[in-house]
Amino acid sequence: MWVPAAGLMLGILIGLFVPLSIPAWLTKYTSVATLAALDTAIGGVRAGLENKFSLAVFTTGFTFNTVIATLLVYLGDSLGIDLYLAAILVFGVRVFNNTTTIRRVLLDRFWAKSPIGMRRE
Amino acid sequence: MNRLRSWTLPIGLVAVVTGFMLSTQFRTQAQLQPPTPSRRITQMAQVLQASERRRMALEGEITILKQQLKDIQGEAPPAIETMEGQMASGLLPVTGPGIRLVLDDSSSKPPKPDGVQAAVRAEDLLKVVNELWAAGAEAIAINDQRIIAQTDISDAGSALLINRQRVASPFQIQAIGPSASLQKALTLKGGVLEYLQFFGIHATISKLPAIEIPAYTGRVEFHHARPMENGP
Repeated sequence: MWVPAAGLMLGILIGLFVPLSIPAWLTKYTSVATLAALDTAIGGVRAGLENKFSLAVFTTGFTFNTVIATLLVYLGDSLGIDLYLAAILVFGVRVFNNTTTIRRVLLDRFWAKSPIGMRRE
Repeated sequence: MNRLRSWTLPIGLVAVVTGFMLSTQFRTQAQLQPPTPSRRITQMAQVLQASERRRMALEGEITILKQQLKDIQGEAPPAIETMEGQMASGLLPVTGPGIRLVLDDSSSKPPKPDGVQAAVRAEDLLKVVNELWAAGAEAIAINDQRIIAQTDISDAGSALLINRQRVASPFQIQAIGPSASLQKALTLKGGVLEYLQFFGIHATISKLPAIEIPAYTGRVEFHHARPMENGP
């Protein structure tokens, strides 16, 4: 279960040492894409913990969310509206919801033991 | 355990990608705008206001003292000695501690893929010179052309004209004055050098203990202006 966490650490380390610099005019897009990726990853962890994980939903969700979020930002730039705010709001809210659910599931699974040690499923 | 395995791997892969994107984004953002905590901004604003008040109080004192001097002497203050006058107008070569800034645009890269290659223009040099004067420079020369009050810096095709002489890249700007202030004024956040470097122009600053700045070699003639008889 800690494979995703280890994967996150690994990705962060790689990113710190790869001298890739995002051009200044791209940063707004990549930041929203990053948020979308983070939301998908956390959503996937939640689905997995609830035993509702579906690989198809997960992968299509990842690509779609990132692409559509970037398109939304681009559309906002073309129209002169700060549409990226909508993307940030939605993904931020989802991150919070998913982490709350993960916390509850973990507490249920590892804390709610009866006094004689039997796990309540 | 089997069901656990099936999701950890794809999520792990996505987590690697996410982590990579996160740290790259952090690094780029930190380079672009190191965040200034708002408390520090307020603090610095207060220091600025206090300094402004003090400056205005001192200016008031200057006016009072000048009046007292006038009353005692009964006439305008004596003219500056000839040497200082000549130094002030850039007619003497001078030496002293200061900074040397070299601007090179020969290998600049455009900031966007479809941008044009940036070249140092007259307005860029004017900005640099302005910052240096404001920071306390006492003598400035660009490619050995002394900058005096009557100096113009203008674009002329692919080169620049300073004191009506053609100068070309790389531009070596020397300034005598308080080295630390001069360097800080140029490297301010959001300042001239940051602006130029954004367009890929190479800028190198060095603080030197003994900079030599040549005298102005042109002529300064006054056909229209003449000294006022009775003082301001």
